[in-house]
Amino acid sequence: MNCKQAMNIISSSESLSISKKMSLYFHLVICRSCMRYKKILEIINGKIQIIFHSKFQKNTVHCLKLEEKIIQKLKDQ
Amino acid sequence: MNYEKKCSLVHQYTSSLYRLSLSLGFSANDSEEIVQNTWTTFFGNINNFEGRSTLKTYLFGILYLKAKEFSRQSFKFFKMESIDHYMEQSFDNTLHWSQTPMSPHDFSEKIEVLNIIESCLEDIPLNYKMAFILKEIEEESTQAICHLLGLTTNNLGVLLFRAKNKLKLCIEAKIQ
Repeated sequence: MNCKQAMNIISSSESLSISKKMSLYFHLVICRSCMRYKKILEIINGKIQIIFHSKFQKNTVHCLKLEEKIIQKLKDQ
Repeated sequence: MNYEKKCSLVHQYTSSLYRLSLSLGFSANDSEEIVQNTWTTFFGNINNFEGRSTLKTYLFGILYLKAKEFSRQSFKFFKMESIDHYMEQSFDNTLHWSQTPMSPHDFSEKIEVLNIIESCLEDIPLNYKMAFILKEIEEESTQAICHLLGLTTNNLGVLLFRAKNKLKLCIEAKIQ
């Protein structure tokens, strides 16, 4: 496996056969650049989860009010 | 479906729908409208739900359609294809990285300011963002996402490839 193939597999999140998983694993063991690339994508994912979580936390009250509104609409029907 | 059952579904899924809408980049008020429209459509066509996907995935599918309708007028189209070309150039003739990516430690330190990522997320088109969120945040199966977005497995791979690399390049450009 070369770096370009590894990068494609890492970024497209494809489901891998066991042999492909093994090839990727061994490539990552010997290739610092691809390992860095993989870790950077993981960091981005982690930060995005934090952003989304905090956005939701800030609007929890609004969400609860929305639930009540939808239920009220159902009641009125 | 009786009133109690409907209320129970609203209690169970509204927060997930609302969170997804916020994650797609809509404001709190726009998300309220999108989620309300999602429930109206769902309850109005409840017999269309055949149980081929989970109810949550099915509701996400309706929300995605409502989000698309909502943003049709202001929807921005970016040339995501240019990412493919840029990524091609990241490799030398032997298909190894022409330049070693930044150290994850440095990268992590430099993106402590989260609004860098937020502004880069704004540049990702809705369908790419939806695929990314469903796969990486909601951890839905590839099959469910493809069914929901009307994609083949290969198409989904391309969307994820472009979304992730676009984000990475955008963030790197802002922190370097």
